[in-house]
Amino acid sequence: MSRATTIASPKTAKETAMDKGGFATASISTLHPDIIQTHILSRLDCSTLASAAATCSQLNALVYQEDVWANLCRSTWPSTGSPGVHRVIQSFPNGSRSFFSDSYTIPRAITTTPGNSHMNLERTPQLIFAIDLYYREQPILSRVVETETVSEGFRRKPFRVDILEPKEAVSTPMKYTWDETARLAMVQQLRMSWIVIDAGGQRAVNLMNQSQIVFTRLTELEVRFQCKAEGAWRSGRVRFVVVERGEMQVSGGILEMEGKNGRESLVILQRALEGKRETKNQWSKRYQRELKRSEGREGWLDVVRGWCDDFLWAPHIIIFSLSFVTSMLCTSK
Amino acid sequence: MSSSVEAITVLSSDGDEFKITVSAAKLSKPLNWMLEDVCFSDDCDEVPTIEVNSKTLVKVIEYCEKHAPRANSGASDSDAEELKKWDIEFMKMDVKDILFHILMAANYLHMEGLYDLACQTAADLMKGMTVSQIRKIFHIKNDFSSEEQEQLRRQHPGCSFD
Repeated sequence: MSRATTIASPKTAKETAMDKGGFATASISTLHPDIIQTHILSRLDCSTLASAAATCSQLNALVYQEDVWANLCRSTWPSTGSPGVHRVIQSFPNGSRSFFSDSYTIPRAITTTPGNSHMNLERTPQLIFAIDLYYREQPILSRVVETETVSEGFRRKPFRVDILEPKEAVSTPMKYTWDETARLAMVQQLRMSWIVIDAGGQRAVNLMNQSQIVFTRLTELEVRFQCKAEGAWRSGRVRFVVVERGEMQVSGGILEMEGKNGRESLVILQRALEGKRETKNQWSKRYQRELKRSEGREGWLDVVRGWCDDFLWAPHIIIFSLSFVTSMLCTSK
Repeated sequence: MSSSVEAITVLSSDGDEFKITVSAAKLSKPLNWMLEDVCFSDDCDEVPTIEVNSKTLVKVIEYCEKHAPRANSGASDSDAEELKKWDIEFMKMDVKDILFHILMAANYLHMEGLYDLACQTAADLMKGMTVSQIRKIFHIKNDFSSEEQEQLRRQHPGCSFD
């Protein structure tokens, strides 16, 4: 009676050795670190990651690996996965983790008067914009636009950045419907993220983290995301066209912001980059306080705005199904 | 070769015997290779050992048997939907004790679907939990000194420790 065949244990599975000793209750630390890091931590959002990091030293060490945050950045904002942006992120003090905490939070600009002399406008000769558009929390459009900020052309004209190339169209899963209510509901499921990256200063800021949707009712084919913070507004306009079988395609996108010219906008951007960041909780608490203070004056408007903000700023992180899990498993014999 | 055999017997690491149908065993690459290599006809008395304990192997085989028909023939969307529901129910096991064993077994047996499911379940169990809840669910021993703990509190003001 031979028992010759035993499936060879893969080298990485030190845990199977444990099994032989009888049934021990498995703790997460019995898993191979690679498994925890690549396949479990990669599916967590940032607040859960923070909690996991505080449970024990082993998980703490794993959570603080660059890969975990690089992965989280990529899945949260696919635009940041482009090689150029990735390189810039790597130069941040704590790499992707610094970038994430800069961009996931809500900026609170430093409150100095515009044109303040301590601002060095030459500090940011170039800015990178990472733009993502989401429908039902799934990314449908990701673009990276770089712009110089020193030329007369930039400084004199009002700030305006085109997201798409001329005549470019990007298909979306959105279907045009003649039912106005349904169309409204569909448009409300769009969300935009606009991250400004200052490569030299190693900072980033998300200008659209508490934006609301305002759109032209006439055609309803242009969606406008607007965000007003610290008195400075910024907006992203996205234009759609309807093609065959009602499919809606993004045919244009424009970013604009406060400032009568690029120079003024640059000051606003630098103040946002240098300013503090608030978590969503901190922000909404402060917002509620300010709302109470201003009640009576523009009460109903703020209530509506507050509702929109809460609705839109649901901090969903989209974790894509990791197709490389599959390929790794196949090749890791 | 074993074309005539419909089920094979395997041994768990605890030495218990388990039957698994050939089509279900094919979900695991190593098991599949083994099927090709080893004689499983009636007059062959070789019993392969799978280095997975009995409690876990029962569940792994249950998963294989459920998923085998679909993996082998391809199924309609409604079947896929139903299977998804089954997966969720399947993972409502007593996680604390067996989830990581399943995960390790799936890794060891190269079963992508089960591995993915187990990882997702582990992640889902952590989501929205406080630090002490995660410790409890996964039997994690707190090895931080009180100073380190205080530092962590400062580092993550948003995360809840209670």
